[in-house]
Amino acid sequence: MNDCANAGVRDQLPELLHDRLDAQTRAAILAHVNGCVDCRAELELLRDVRGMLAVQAPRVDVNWVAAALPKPPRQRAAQSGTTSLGAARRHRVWSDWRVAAAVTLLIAGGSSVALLDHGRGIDRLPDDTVQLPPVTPPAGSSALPSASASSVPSSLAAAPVARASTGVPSSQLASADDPSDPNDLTDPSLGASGRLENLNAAQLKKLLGAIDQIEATPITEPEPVSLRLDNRASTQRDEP
Amino acid sequence: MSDAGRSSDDQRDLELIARWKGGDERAATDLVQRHASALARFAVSAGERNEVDELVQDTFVRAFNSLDGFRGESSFRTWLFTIERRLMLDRRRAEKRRKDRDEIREDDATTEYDALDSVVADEMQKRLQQAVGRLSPTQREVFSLRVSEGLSYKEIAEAVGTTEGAARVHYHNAMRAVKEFLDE
Repeated sequence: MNDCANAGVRDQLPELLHDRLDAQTRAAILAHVNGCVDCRAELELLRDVRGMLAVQAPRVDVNWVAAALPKPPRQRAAQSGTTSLGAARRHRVWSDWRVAAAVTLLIAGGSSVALLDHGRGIDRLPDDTVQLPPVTPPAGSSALPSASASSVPSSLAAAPVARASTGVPSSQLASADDPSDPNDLTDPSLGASGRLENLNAAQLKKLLGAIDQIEATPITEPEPVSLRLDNRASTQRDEP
Repeated sequence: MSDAGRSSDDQRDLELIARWKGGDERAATDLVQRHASALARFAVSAGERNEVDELVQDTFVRAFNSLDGFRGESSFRTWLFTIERRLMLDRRRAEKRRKDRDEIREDDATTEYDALDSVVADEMQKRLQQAVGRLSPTQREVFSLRVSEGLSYKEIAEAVGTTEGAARVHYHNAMRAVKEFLDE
């Protein structure tokens, strides 16, 4: 089998075989091939090789191949968007649950505080309230709330709001709750109930003595404190 | 590749790719339908005989996973051939490591291809198979893409990672070798 001398035509025989030539070029090539034995033989050889390769290639299951392909980007984005939306929805439900729980706690806690405050009656000052001279705790004493409790005994020390208003560090407040504090007016020896009307003469004397031992050296000019004696007694009753 | 230089097949491929990116899964099936056979032919002509369908599937999966990187500078089919050829090289390297297959060398003209045991219909086809089987791997790839798929030298050069001129030389050397074998 010989090669045609027209290399340009030979070079385009595969394009002729696959019909990839424009009409004008195809007509020119065909005109040459029809008059050229070598080019006709080579074109026939190309057809045979093409047929041989096609026979050997296995059939491919298109659907099987397509099934393994990834999803289109827009579908993937939509799916991920759905996932994000679901997560956001779950987050919102979770937030709603927490808000409801917080509101419930606030209502329950607020009601309890209101009931306690109502029982203590510390935020009401009736007309029969008497004015007591200000009592200031001793300088440097760690029992500041308890000392202040000489005017409002212990009830303020037990109330968180009162603690905050004193501006005393919480560590100090914790020590004020120490039952071993010598200045603690809720000494068990003063009576099991802690109510003034239940104290005997000795206990009252001891209480007054303890009050007398407090040094009245105010750092700043204290505000006068109003106290109703009955309430004082009732607040002492609430002390542990 | 300019729009004017694109064939209608290339344009159709680009349309299908755009449809797939827009969410049309059927477009992917159409693309597989259009190119799966060519990929199988190329694989067989390059000497692959085992699990050709899986090779074709892997080629499409890899192509669709990196379709954002396809800029349309070459035809979609040429791009697929490039991917498939890389996968075949990976396969051969793995097989070489496992020593399940003989070493693939450029000068090994009878690599695997002669081992094909498909039934050849007539003596002429059997002779053609032997003639193509004696080509070097690169000659066989170029010859197959040129004759079986009708790719231009430029497209072949892109697919097999060579120059257009080298692809032309490989093709003519392959054609001469086949003719000489058949004339023996």
